[in-house]
Amino acid sequence: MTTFSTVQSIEQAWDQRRRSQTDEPRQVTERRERSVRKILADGLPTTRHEEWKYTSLRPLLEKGFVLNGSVKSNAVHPDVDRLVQSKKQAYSLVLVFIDGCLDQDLSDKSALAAIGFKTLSQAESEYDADWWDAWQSAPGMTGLFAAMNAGFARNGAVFKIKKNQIVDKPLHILHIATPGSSSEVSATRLVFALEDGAKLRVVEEFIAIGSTTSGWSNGLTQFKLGALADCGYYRIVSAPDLFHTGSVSVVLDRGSCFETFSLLAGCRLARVNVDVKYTAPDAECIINGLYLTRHNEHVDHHTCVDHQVGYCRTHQLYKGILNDESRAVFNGKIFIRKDAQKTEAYQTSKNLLLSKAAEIDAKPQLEIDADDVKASHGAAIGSVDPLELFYLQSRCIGRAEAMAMLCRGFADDVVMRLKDDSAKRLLNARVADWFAQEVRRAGASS
Amino acid sequence: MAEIVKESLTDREYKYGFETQIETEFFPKGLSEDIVNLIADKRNDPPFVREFRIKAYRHWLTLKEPTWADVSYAPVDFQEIRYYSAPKSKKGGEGPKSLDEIDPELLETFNKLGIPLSEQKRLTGVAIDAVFDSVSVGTTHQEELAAAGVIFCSLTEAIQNHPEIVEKYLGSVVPYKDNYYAALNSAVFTDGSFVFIPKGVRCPLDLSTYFRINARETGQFERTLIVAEEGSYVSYLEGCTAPMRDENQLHAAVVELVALEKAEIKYSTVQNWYAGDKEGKGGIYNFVTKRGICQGAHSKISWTQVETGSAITWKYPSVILKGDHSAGEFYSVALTNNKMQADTGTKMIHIGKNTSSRIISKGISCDDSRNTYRGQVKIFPSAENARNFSQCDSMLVGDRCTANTHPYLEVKNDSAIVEHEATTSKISADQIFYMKSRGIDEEGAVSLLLHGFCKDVFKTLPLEFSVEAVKLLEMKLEGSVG
Repeated sequence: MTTFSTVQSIEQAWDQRRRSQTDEPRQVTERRERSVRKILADGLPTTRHEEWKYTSLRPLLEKGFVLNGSVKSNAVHPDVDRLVQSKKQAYSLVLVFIDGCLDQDLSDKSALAAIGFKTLSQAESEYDADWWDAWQSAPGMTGLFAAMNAGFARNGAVFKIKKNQIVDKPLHILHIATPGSSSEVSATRLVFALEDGAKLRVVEEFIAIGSTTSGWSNGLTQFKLGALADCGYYRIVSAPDLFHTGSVSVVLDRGSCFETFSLLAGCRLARVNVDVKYTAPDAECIINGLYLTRHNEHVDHHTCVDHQVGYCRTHQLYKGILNDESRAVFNGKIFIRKDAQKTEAYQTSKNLLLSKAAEIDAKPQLEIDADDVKASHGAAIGSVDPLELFYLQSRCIGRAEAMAMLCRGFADDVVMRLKDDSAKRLLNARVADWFAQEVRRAGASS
Repeated sequence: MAEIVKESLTDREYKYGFETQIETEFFPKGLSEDIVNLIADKRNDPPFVREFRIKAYRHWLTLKEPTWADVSYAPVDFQEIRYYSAPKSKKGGEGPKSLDEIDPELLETFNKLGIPLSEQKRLTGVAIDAVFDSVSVGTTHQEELAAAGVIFCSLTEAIQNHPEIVEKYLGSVVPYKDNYYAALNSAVFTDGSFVFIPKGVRCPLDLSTYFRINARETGQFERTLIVAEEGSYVSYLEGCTAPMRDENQLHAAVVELVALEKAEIKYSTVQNWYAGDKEGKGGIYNFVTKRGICQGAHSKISWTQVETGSAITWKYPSVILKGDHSAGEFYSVALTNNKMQADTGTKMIHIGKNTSSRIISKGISCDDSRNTYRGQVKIFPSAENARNFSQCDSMLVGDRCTANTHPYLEVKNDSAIVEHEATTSKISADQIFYMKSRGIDEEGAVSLLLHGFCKDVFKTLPLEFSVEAVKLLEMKLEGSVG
């Protein structure tokens, strides 16, 4: 048992893991080791690193999460079943992870098999080294948490969607943290390979049972889209005491289309990296996000879109509403490389501060090496317009409700842009939950 | 179209690349505490200045050269630079008492640069301080300014004649610990301009300093200090050139502005240091720290810069908005061509209530150059109702250049309104076609578009400089533009 505190602790944990996991194929161990070595070579970042300027690892290090706990049998919490059943009613394709462990009994095995499902360990031994190396060199994989996941994640799932296969029902991946999970890192890795013309919708949801469950989930989600493939990926985190780090890595081929939305509505500390790379022309990526924060929450979004080829389009909109002493960080990078002519890239970050002590650090960034492109970015930070508030109050709407109404309008602007209806409904419900809590809170305090 | 523009850009020659053959005295190369002491001896520094230098030098030794800027260059060898170089005074020892005593060779140099010191004195309404390598060679219009109570002289004179003011403000805005180059400058600064506008005075003339690097293997480390007392106003202009050389020369200046209650300082720069040749050989490394503080309520500091020279520019004129209702402005046009690299922008630090700031930055990059905007807007919790607006536009000419934008917005107060906008564009064929259809030739059309692109900035320059800036831009883009 080694707790995550220093870079040495990672080395120690790795040594222990290597000694205990003797049944793993050698090339798998070596591949994992490469990721770990990368972390050891870089060391742990401090706020002096540009990428970590506004987010300190300290709260995470102080918690002392166990890096290599024993694989435990799923401690069945009475609420888990109920939760999963309710999800199953709404979605027909469900995959469940409890405290980072894949629960095959709760998941729909037969339906999953139809979309090329394998567990991570199955896929590691069945798919060859070249296949895995390509995933290993995907964008964003050198980041600290992506590398930690690639090195240590024991659980996960790999999907191969066949050529022209259209999966019409959304795949719902549920990560549930139970009260017993608090001291361990739950690292899960998801890999989605969409062949040419395939279509898939994925919802990945991180929730906790019990309001004070404070584990750490470190997820890695990877996508590779073949020509003309179409994929939607919606990520929801709502677990107020959870530490959440996530890495999303996307590689797009000719004419493919990727839509993603990241909703952070409650977590103690979150850092989500999204890395997108275009490898052929005419692909499109829509990256949207919404973060709703209160208390002393800290959420950090880092996105990086790399236009290596021309004729691709990126649309990015991130919005945030910050209350209490919470803090949000947004860093959006768009690179347009030398040969990426005719690129279109638009990035916007908008933020509402609802309290004196809230803080936002926004850094929208453009790096352009090609001349025939359309690129813009914008950032705006402000508060609710007192005149708008006054108008609503003059119409007999209470202050708290009026506030929520205005903020809701602000948030809906980004949620309503989603192309996928079922995802839109789900996200909308989560946002509504958050605002309902907000109104209750305001009612309780007044 | 791009071809025509490109061709003209690469073929432009640097007009101010001549070298003046003048007898100079200089220190041996290298930097050590002895050299720092020698500079202090040479300039007859009072103890507080000498102490400031030594502290800065010792601190500098503990620092590492910063690498975060988006520029790449061979590391500077600080032992290969001369830290003092001055034209030899004919009288020996003493500096020239009046303009008539200045070496005619020097006057001729400034004439050639279009800054006729003696003529200027009589004809135009601008007072000039001319800095040649490490020393100020002359300041015009001193009597007229003195009558208004304005002190405008070289920093050396100010240290001798007004030590109490210098001691109070030197290092108060840019402390010697601020950054690597500020520490270096604090240790070895040689001359620069000093401006003091007393309470309630509106400076009758525009003040101007012209910086010229001439000697080989020297660095220029000037330090400018401007203090505007309650209710005063001053407009200050700065221009720079250097000879064409194959080696890189270092220019590490510090500029400090202090605006007290209801004072206003307008600081304009037209920077045209030698930028190196087509292959990127030679040119000035321009590593400058410029910062102003709006100390009093209702004060205002406005920076305008037109950056057309230097092999590498590393410059962030900033404003600390400490006084309530104070305002900061930053207007910039940065043109890079050939292999120039510019990493420039601003910092607006909002501390006082109801403070406002405005940033307009226009970057034009051509050929193989890199043009980066890097700006920070920071709103402290105390800055109630702070307001910021930033606009950063880039124009790319040719497909080998780079335009980057790195804004940092840090807001810790909910009543603040911060906006940032950035766009990237090129001169489109449609625009050119439209103008050609109206009988304007292609060169004229490009020129018009560029002027339009930069208009927001040019209109804030004082008239004389506005003309010069437009000319400079045209010269750089001559052949197809204007």
